[in-house]
Parts: sequence; structure tokens; C-alpha cells
Amino acid sequence: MTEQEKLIEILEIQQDGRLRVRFGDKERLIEVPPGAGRNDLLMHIHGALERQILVELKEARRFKGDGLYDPAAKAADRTGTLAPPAFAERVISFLAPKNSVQALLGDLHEMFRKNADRLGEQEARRKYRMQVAASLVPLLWHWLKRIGFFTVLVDYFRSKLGL
Amino acid sequence: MTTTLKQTEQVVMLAILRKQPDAYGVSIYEELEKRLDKEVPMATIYATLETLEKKGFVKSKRGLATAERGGRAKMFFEITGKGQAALNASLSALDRLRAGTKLAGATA
Repeated sequence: MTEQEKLIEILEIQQDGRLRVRFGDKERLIEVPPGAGRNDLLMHIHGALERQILVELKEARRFKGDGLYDPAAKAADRTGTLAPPAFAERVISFLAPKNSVQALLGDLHEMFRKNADRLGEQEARRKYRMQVAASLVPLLWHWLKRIGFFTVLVDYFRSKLGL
Repeated sequence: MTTTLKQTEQVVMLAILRKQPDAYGVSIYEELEKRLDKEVPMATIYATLETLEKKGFVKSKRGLATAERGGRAKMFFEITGKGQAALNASLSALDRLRAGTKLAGATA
């Protein structure tokens, strides 16, 4: 069996007893109480695998609104209407450089959709606004540099000081 | 060869190397979040990428637009030969500076 074909791999047994396990391409830490028997150990790993499968299915939007499994539920009704906060998007559109603004907005949109699937729409909106707020200082700084604000400022002080 | 890469530039370049050939904004962001255990604002990543591109250390190419990105295209990044040499020189300089020092809690 090659490395890629392994479904589950124990990567590390940590000093506190936790297991670092890889399921496919995802890594998870599994809490195993010290002194756990063989069956308990297997149950913990099994439980973590089950949770991982549920997360994957949720990310793939395979559940209906009532929480029931539905293989045909992908790209359900929500996906068409779900959009990030418009004002935050406009702020980014205004401040980001022209050559990368579409890629940046696309990345934020993609993250918003992922968060909405994983954490719910409200939390995704909050995270989007936080992301935009954290981006304000670097964006504003680069915007001021781009429009030559600092050159104007230096020229102004030079003229005032007669340099 | 210049060794004057800022720390942000180093970590973004390392993240690109780890994610190649799928290095774009989200994958770089997630890699940094996973490896550094902190969230780096997306705008900081893009500002750094822009600087690196101007220096000729990375190059970008546009991907296809998808619905899950609101119809916007991805921008993929890869490190140029010049960028790899600069990163190598910069990290080697750090290694030389670190060699022989004793730092509490360090594993390497």
C-alpha cells in the first residue's frame, strides 16, 4: 500500500497521549484518555473518523435544511443567493490595487462561502467583516502610496521649510 | 544576492512553495493559518505578493472564474528562479545567525 492509498495514518503519538491522525488529506488530533483499553482506543479513532465524514458531507452540502442526508442536495437553494456583505466588498473594491482586486474579492468570497457552510451565514458575515477590517490598514497604506500621497506630503514640507 | 527579505515575504514565499502548483490567495492564507497558527489578513498577503512580483521573485497567472468565487478568477502564484535564490540566501543568513545559539524551548 502506498502512502497516498492509506486512508488512516497515525502521524504522531504526543506526550499528553493525543494522537495526530491523518484521514485522507486532513489531519486531526484525537484525545485518548491515558489507560484506555484497545477497544476504547479504536472507538475514539472511529468516532473521530465519523465526525470527519459528517464534516466532509456538510462541506459538500449533502444535507437538506431539515438536516437529513440528501445525495442530490449539492449546490442547494442557498448557494445562489448567499452573498458577502456588500459594503465590505465596496471598501475592498475601492482600496485594493486594480490588477489584483478581482482575485482578492474572489478569495474573500470563496472563504465566505466555506465559512457559511461550516459555521453558518451569520458567523461567515462576521468573519468577512473582520477580514475586511484587518485588511483596512495595509490596503489604506498601499492606496496612499499608490496615489502618491507621501510624495505630496514630502514636497509640502520641503516647500514650507524652504529645502 | 540580496538577503533583505522581510519576514512576511519569507513566510508568504514558503507558503507558495508548499502549495505549488495550487498557490492562490485562499490556499496561501490557509497554509499560513495552519502553520503559523494565526490569521494573516488577506490584504497583507496580496500586498506582499505585489511587492514580491515587482521584485521579480514571484510571477502570477490568472485562472478560470468560478461561481463559488462570485464569478471571479483565481490568481495563481509561483516562485521564480530569482525568488528561490533570494529566499534561499535569506533563510541561510538566518540559519548562520542562529547556529550555535541556545534558545529556551527551541526544538531545532
